[in-house]
Amino acid sequence: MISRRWQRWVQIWDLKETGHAMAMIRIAMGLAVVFDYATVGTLGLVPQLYGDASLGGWSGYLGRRTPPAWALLPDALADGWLLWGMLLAAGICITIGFYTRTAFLLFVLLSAQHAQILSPADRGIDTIIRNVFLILACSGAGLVWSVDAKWITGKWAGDNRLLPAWPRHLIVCQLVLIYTLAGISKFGIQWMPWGGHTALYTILQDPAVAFANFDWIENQPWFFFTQVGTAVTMAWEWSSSLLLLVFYFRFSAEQPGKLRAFSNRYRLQYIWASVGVIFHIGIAAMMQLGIFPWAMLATYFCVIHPDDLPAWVTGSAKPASPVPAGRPQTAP
Amino acid sequence: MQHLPTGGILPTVTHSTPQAQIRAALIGIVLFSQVILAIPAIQPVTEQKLRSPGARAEMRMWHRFLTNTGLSWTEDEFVEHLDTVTTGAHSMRSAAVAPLLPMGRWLGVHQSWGLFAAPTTFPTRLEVEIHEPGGGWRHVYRRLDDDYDEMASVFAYRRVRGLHDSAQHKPGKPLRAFCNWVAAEMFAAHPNANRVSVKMIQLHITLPGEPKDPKQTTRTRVVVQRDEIAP
Repeated sequence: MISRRWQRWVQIWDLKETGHAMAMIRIAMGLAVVFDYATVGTLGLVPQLYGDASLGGWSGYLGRRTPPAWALLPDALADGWLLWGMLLAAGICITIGFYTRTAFLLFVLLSAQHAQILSPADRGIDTIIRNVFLILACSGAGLVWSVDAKWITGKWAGDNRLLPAWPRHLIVCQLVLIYTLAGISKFGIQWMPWGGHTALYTILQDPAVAFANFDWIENQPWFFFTQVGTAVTMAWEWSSSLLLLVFYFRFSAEQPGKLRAFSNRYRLQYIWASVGVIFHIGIAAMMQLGIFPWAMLATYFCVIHPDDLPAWVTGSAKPASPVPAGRPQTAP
Repeated sequence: MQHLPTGGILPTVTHSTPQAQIRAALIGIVLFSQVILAIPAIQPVTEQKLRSPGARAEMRMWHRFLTNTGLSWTEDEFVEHLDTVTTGAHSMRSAAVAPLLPMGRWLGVHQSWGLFAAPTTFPTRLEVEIHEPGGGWRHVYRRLDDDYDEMASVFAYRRVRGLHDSAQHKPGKPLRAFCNWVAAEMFAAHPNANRVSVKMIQLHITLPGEPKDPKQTTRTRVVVQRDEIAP
């Protein structure tokens, strides 16, 4: 039994697919990153956010314990422009797929340095971006719709070669961890039914995060809608761990079971993702959290199996065999 | 229309390559370590933490709810138990994640996802005032106020918000540096100003149907004189 389960575990991480979904994550998240670093530049905040305190930086870290990048390049990094420039350049390289793996790794290491220098300016979404980029650095995300693809295959879109699917599946696990933990961590009574589901109302009254003045939502039916939004958020986050089950149902589509058949027939992963898209567009419309909703939405491409994409996206017919020898060609 | 999946189904083969087995084992280790890191980082709920009005209000709501469900602890007893449980949970988590922290620090990766875990009913609002001789103090920025919106796009930027939104009663080094920079920008824009004040005003959010609480308290205030800023 253990041997059989281990074999299935190995097979799950040995699946192969084309790199379109991973390339979508790369491009969408890369665009969010480039927009964010360009914003820092246009706001004139480079020395303040990335520079040494002696040159106007806000860091409380430098001078106490020097991060490795500063130990290696103290003078070059002092005013922050080199660090910011390298992060922006890495973001652009990731987006266009130019030396993609190197760009992913460079971005993660430099961004981690910045997290040490000025931790209050390093937000949750920055960690999510680093987590995802670290996974994508091990993937073939740069072999589709990229400069690297043009160099290697002669085509910008790549040659539809089969690549390991495990990085995409690992990003699915990352999404599940984020949402499940976000749900479990919501211990504030306002998230609970016995707290009146007033969390969303309270958040929208917080001037630090609200996009505008939302005093009017104390009136009905708006207040009721915020209560519904709170309840749906909790239910959706708590249920996100079921996404793993939905994926397992897909892996084992040839096995019997009504629930499995239902999940595969109605593609529940896309229904789950649709709720998430609405959730994050709502956040973008009502809260001022910068690139958070957009970078999160970029990760949603991980729920898409490349075979589910229409031919006009992938630019060709389905690959002959998405997994190694022995795999059934089509689902039953 | 056929809705069944066309790819991503496990093969029926019974043997895998050694490379695939090693990869699967490594991924298993990575996933296990990430789940350990994901154990919610519960902060000890001490008497000192409960001095914050938001935390105390939250604690009282939980105590009221649990009392209604049959709990017979007094508020003090409840706080004592809360302290014991949360301190214990915090210590256990700290011990579990300790071996993984160096890697997390180098790569800037972790798995703590307490997004709006306990929305505060006592949020703060950033305000900036300038003082001009003979004119007294006047606002130049107040969050979400179109009448006072100088440098609004800078203050709203997510990384900048991270500095002032998490501000403690006693401003730390980054917040002090931020306030000095704001002052320098304001002095440049207002040549007659001789002082700049950066304030975090604490508000109290009440629910619909509850009486409004108009009280606003200054949680943090940093005043910078023009002669403190290097030309």
